[in-house]
Amino acid sequence: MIPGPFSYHRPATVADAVKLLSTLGEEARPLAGGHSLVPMMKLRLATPEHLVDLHGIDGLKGIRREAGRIVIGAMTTQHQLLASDDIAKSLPILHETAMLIADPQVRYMGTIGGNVANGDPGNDMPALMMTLGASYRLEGPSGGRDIAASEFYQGAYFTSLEPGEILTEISIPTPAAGHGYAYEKLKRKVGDYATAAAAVVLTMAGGKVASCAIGLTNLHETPLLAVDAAKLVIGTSLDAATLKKAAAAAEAIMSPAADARGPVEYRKHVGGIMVTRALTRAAGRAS
Amino acid sequence: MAKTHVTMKVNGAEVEGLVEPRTLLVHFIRENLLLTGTHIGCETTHCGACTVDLDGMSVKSCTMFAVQAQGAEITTIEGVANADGSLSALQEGFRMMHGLQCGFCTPGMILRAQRLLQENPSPTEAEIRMGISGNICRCTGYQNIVKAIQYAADKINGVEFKEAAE
Amino acid sequence: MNDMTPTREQREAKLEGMGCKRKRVEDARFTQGKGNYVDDLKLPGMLHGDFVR
Repeated sequence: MIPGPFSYHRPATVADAVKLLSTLGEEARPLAGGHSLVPMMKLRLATPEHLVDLHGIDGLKGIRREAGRIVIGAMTTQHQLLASDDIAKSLPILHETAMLIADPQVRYMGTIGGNVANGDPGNDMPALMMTLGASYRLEGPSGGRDIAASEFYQGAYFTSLEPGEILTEISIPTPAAGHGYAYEKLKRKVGDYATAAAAVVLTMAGGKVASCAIGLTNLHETPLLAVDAAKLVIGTSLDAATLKKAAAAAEAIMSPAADARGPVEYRKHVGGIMVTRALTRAAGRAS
Repeated sequence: MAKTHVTMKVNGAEVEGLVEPRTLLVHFIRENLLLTGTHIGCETTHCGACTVDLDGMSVKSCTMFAVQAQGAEITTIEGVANADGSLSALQEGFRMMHGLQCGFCTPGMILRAQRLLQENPSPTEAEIRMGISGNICRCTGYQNIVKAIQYAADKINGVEFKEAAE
Repeated sequence: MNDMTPTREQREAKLEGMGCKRKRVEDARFTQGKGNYVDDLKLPGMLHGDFVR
């Protein structure tokens, strides 16, 4: 279908965008890459009366380093992330995950800010940001604040964003040199959302896991941090028994929706397999 | 709904029009500019038949509003042929390698392949297949589309094209 | 037929034996976006139907 009618705004600054979103209220949505929002508008599942296009705001673009952290502007596209040598070298899991999102055309337009702020349980970046211990910068009518990714997601399409707030940048602590990483994504075809996906970042010491974080995508109405699973692999060499226990611990917190990608039990089962594959691959990459 | 005036460059020429904000770029191209080579193949941003080249990016024009393209430089299939009217390497490749049957996906494929070859002038077969993963073809099974792109890559690079054995 | 399609004479001049390779006559048009699919047609007096959901 064609979308419903709306008024289009294109502010030049974050302050203007915040002012617009605050005054126009609930019927206004920010427009980033648009590749989640516009398809929903074409199905009339979303009918905002105002769109606030963020493309005109220079301050939302770019990747920079800041004292042990990598800071990424919200309007940075997946394509720009993939083109960054710095990201490929220092945050290879971000590179690996971006490659698995949708297709080349969508990656040219889709932004990391949109991917993390939309609250869609199918998006890949949220669980990854939680795994990396990232934090988000939000700007709103009462000023700016930082919030940990792990605290940002409340429910399906429901985040901690207050009315009038937009996410402006994502700050990620640079992982230790020699860290192991993997994003394992099971999908029906190239470009699909995850049937089940797991992100793992870990470090090894003397053949045993020294630190570990595990994130889960599309296995719940929000992205998940598999805290218990990650804790129990520490100090182990990721032998078969440990992997089995980790998968079980991860499955215990999953509650995926049954949909065209499969029934609940199937998605939990393959979710556990994604965790074991990600742990094994991450360990293989660690030094 | 009040209409907005948009201007942009399409296939090298300045164009303009009056559109509602909700007018999709693909509808502006097809119905305002009467460039019907860009096709609408789905409702879900999957098929890629609407792919155009916009400011150096392959973009699915059905998932963008015309107002977002204000001031942009766009190439559609009508602008792909060489200035003297001869077919471009890709157009020739699709013809020589039987890279189309019904032809509906072909404009989107060619626009995407053109940008792909600029991103990566000598792609491997796997890179071509990943590179066109945003374009769906129901007729060919992709085999000859891949060959067509390899043909074009070789022609552009001045290399002799050798068809791989089946 | 439009002027991108080879003429009958041009095609017959290229005839070889049975089973020879022949190039399709419509590809020159299709690869230039002149496919004239149903939604591309604009005919005088044409009516449009829109589904309102």
